[in-house]
Amino acid sequence: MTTTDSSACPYHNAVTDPATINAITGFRDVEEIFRSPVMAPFLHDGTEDFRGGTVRQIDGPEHRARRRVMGRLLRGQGDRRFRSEVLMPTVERNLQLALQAPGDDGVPRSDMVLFARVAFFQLAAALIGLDGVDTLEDAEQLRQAADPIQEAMRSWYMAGDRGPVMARGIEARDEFRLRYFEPAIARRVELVKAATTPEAEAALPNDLLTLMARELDPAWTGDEGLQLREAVTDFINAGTFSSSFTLVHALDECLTWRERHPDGAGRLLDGNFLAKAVSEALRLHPIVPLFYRTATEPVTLTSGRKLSAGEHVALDIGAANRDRDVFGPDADVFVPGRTLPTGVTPYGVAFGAGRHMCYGMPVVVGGDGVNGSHVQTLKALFSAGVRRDRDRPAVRNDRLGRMNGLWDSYPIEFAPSGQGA
Amino acid sequence: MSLHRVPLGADLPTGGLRGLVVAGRALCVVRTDDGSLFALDDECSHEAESLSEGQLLGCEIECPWHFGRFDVTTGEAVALPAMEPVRTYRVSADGEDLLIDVPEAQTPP
Repeated sequence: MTTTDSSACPYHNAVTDPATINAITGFRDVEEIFRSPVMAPFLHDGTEDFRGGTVRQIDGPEHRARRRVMGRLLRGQGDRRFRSEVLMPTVERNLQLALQAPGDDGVPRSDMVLFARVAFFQLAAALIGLDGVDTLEDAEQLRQAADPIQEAMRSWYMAGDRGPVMARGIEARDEFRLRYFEPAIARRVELVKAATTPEAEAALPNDLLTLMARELDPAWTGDEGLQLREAVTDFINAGTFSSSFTLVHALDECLTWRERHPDGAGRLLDGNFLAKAVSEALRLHPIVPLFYRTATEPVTLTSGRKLSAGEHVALDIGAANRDRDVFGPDADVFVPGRTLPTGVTPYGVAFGAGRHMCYGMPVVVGGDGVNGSHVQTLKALFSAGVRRDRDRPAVRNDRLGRMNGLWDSYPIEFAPSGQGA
Repeated sequence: MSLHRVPLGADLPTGGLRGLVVAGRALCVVRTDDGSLFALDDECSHEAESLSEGQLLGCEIECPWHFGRFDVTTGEAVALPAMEPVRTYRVSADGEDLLIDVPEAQTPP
């Protein structure tokens, strides 16, 4: 298993020697471990300053209760509301800005990495409850402010000394706290205090900071450090990073598919086909390559594999999602609508599985699997005639070792007349 | 048919849901907006969480943990991450009581 090089960096060897952690690569084993009540999350990468105590790291009744509280944001098909009221208006605004400002050659252009990240930062701000993030420019400023934080949280995958990156990330988080977090939560505390009737309480904002101001989770109450970590880890980091890069991958795969199936280009305007394409892209390109678990007691998996109490394992999502025993001999190939065994989701374990399944899955996929953020965004882009920029190739980000599904830029252009697909 | 009488009617308003145990089974009973009654296993097929702690959306019940949804009329899973159906049971009103057809739990030999 490849990790960062050994160094004197205080964060690198903060935890168990990675060489002693067995990688689990079979889909059935990975899924079973995700679902097992005795396999607990394990923070392997020395980022307690960012992730400690957050919903992804806790387990048991505490996790169940936290998840239930956070579920208030998306319950009642809340994913639809956030998409329709925040995400898609941002996507549409971004798209119109690009289409209305073509280059000298009459071709509108944009960059898919920036396009996606700004949209998901706007969404993250709404989910968290950050005030003053109303325009694309505001979302871009938030993205720039959060960049060092996200780099620090991914630094385990980097080579060399993580120390300066982690220090800058903590500094950036303090800046985020002062500029965005504290004003927003202070305002919500006042709103909650003033909401003395059921009607007023029902009218409170539906966002993370309001849940915290309402003191609905005892661990959050009075622990501003945990509140900040929860907002940053789950929404700023997970909610923008994986979301945006999986969208770029989905576009990339669809564009390649179109080159190979020129007669099928019209299908890229069909939501049902795009849903299958998005699921395949998610399956093939999980942004977070590894999830870590610890056996809290001896475990024998259905496959016969035994884990001893205290044993750490690394769940290799990429390998599991290309398991030929499950996905067929062409598991490495992008095949929208591939036949799957009963009970296997078309995106595999890209969102994890079980009780710790990615909180944002309904936003990305949609409850019906068709109307999630990625399908809707791709539909808008293909309707505007999106294609790769013929003059500027995409630039991969190769600085993060095994986290190799990233781009620094992915230039795109649109058909001058806005013709679809 | 194993009908069980449950004195619940007044405690199950229109658009509401309740969890209860009948013949050893945890059930979720639902009264939809048109007053129709339905009963299903009170366990989400995704992660074995209690559906009666969720929300009724029309004729669908939403699990509050991961937002899987089920059609209360058929038990069919209608929203990811739920993929497997949940069992349903016949239920009717008899005055203020409910009559729910729940097979007695089989005792292992």
